[in-house]
Amino acid sequence: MLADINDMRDWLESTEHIAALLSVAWEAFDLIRTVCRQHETACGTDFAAYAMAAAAAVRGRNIIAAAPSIPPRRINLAQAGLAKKADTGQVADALAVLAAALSGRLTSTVMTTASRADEQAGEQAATQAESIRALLTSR
Amino acid sequence: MSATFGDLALAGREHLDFAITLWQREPTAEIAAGIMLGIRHTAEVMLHCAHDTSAATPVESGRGRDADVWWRAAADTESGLRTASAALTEATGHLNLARKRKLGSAGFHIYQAGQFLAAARDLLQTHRTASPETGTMSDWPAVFEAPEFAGALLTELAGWSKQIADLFLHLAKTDPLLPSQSERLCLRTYRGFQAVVDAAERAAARTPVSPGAAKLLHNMRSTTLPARRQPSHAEPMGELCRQAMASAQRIRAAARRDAGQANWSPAISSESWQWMAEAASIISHLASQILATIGGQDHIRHQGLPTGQMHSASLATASAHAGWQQVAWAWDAVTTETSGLASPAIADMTDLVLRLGRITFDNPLWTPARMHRAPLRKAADLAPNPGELAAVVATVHEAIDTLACVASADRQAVELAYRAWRLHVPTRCLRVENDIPHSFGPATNRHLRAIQQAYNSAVTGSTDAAMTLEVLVLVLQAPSTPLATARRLSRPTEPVLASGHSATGSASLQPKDLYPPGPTVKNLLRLGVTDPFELLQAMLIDHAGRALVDKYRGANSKEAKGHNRHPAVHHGTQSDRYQADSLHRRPTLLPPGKSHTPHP
Repeated sequence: MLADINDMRDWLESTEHIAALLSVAWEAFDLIRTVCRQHETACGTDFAAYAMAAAAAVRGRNIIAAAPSIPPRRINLAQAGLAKKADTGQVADALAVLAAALSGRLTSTVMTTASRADEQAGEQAATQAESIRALLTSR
Repeated sequence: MSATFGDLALAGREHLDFAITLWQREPTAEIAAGIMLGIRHTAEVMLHCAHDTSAATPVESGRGRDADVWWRAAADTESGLRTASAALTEATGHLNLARKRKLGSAGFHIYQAGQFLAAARDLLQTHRTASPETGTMSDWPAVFEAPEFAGALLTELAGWSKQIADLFLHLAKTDPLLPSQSERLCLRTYRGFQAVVDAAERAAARTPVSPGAAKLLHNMRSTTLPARRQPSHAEPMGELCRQAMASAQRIRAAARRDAGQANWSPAISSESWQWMAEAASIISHLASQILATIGGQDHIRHQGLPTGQMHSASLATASAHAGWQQVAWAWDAVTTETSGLASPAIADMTDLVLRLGRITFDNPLWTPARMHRAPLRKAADLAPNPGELAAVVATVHEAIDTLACVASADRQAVELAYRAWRLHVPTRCLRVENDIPHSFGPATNRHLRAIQQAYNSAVTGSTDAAMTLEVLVLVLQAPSTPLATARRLSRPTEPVLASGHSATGSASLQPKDLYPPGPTVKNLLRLGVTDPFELLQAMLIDHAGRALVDKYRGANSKEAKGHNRHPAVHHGTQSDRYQADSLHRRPTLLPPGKSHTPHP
């Protein structure tokens, strides 16, 4: 689980082109959503943070899906590792780091695009990523 | 604080008493004339009240003959007051009183009594009609269809009639002003008022009005919503409870108003619905933890509250939580053409989440963020005395009742949105085989059904939990007693399975009995486990075991399958069938607000 999250972050960091970045951002939001859903029932007092983060991830994902430059097809990802659950605290921290990276990448890369619609989508999605980070970070 | 129906009615009765005293002190023709005019005005107001009540008679009450006696009494009351009012008008005409300008002191007080009754009637009217300013409906319009509530109102009118009839009889006997023809009219007037008294007494002899119904009527306030107060600083427990209940009331009003706008309002979006569902699942989770914490307290046993009752309420709210989780998950796969969290209820829902969280956890500045997490409050800190216990239980009850209203209103709203072609599916969520050349496609019947099923669970779970909490509230005489009484009065005795809390605010689902405790639950309780979610899980395990055994006994297998569904919604199976379903239903529609990338 943690490896999947870290892999996604690395992938996000290494993506340059706007279409590819939007595609990876969509996957990253969806990964956050899936992981939050998997862990929200078992996380006790952190339930509220996980639930709200999942909703923010869905919003971010839908915003990215409406961006003009996103490729129509999904990237085929192997998500076999997602079946395993991990320590909810560690998972939340890892997701917070991924969300921070997502917010940063969307803000910096989308600024350089020519399309105003892509820029708006990137800004709005970055806001959602930032709210996920704020919800899940422990510090 | 606004006046209640009881305040206004009492003030009116005091004016009546005072008028009688004045008349007894000085029984002159001048004062008698003023009294006649005052009574004519008051009788007209009473007639309007009686008409409102008899007009609320359901076409088919379905509550049996005993309950119908109050509806018959309403008709008799209206008829009696109509007779009295007509006779009074005629009598004042005969006596040439219509041109009289001064009522005199006694007449003035009777006129004032009528004015107070008119104000009390206006207060009730605010619950019957939508506010012209905000478009919001009251929580309680369904209560007017409850025979017991009608009984309380008719009993109040009978009290007024008795006072006036006595005065009138006295007036007719001693007034030197009355010619013989007017005496006959006065007798008719007296008989009209007496008919009102008799109708109420006859009905009460068969179906007495419960003290709860009378108390509810007297405690009713106008539908003016409390102002929003954001939780900006650390608030003491009493303030947290008060403001949380105010937020709950505002949310119910907003949910009812929004439900009818879902087919066109851009502010109502899938993101708003999902956010509300997440907030509702958090609220029910917090409520369950609060009830589990106070359920462990020793002193609640001394308040006539068995610990089992608190425990049942905790389990019921855990079940509501599971229902709301289903709703939140169902919205992962469906969207609307507008986005954002613009629904007016969201601000108040945020306040409610924050305040309930600050009641649950030992952090006065708690938020859902992990950095503000805190341990649960200790029982002694949460409800140190009976007053605070009642306030906390009332807060939880108001919150859960609100969730039942929101679930019912949102279920109706989603249906409207679907019919207005507002629901869509991001095609990237579908499988690769579904080669759709747009970013979004229309949601199908299958998607709608998945969402509706989830809302059905939320409605059932929340309504059951609210009904369980009503018992606690009524035993404790907690601040939410009027709401609990109103809900119980407006609920038919016969179960109506098709609807829960209706969009107008009444609950009509009967409490679903929780499964009886089996060996797993008993073992956990023996080990001292009190966590409601663990116990709910154990209950389901026991139920599944019983169902399995029943299956091989050849009985009850269908029921068992239906009950043990996991909250998770399997989007995969929906998307499998998406394309075929979608193509059969209608051509691909692009949401106007969403841009899309054409297929290469």
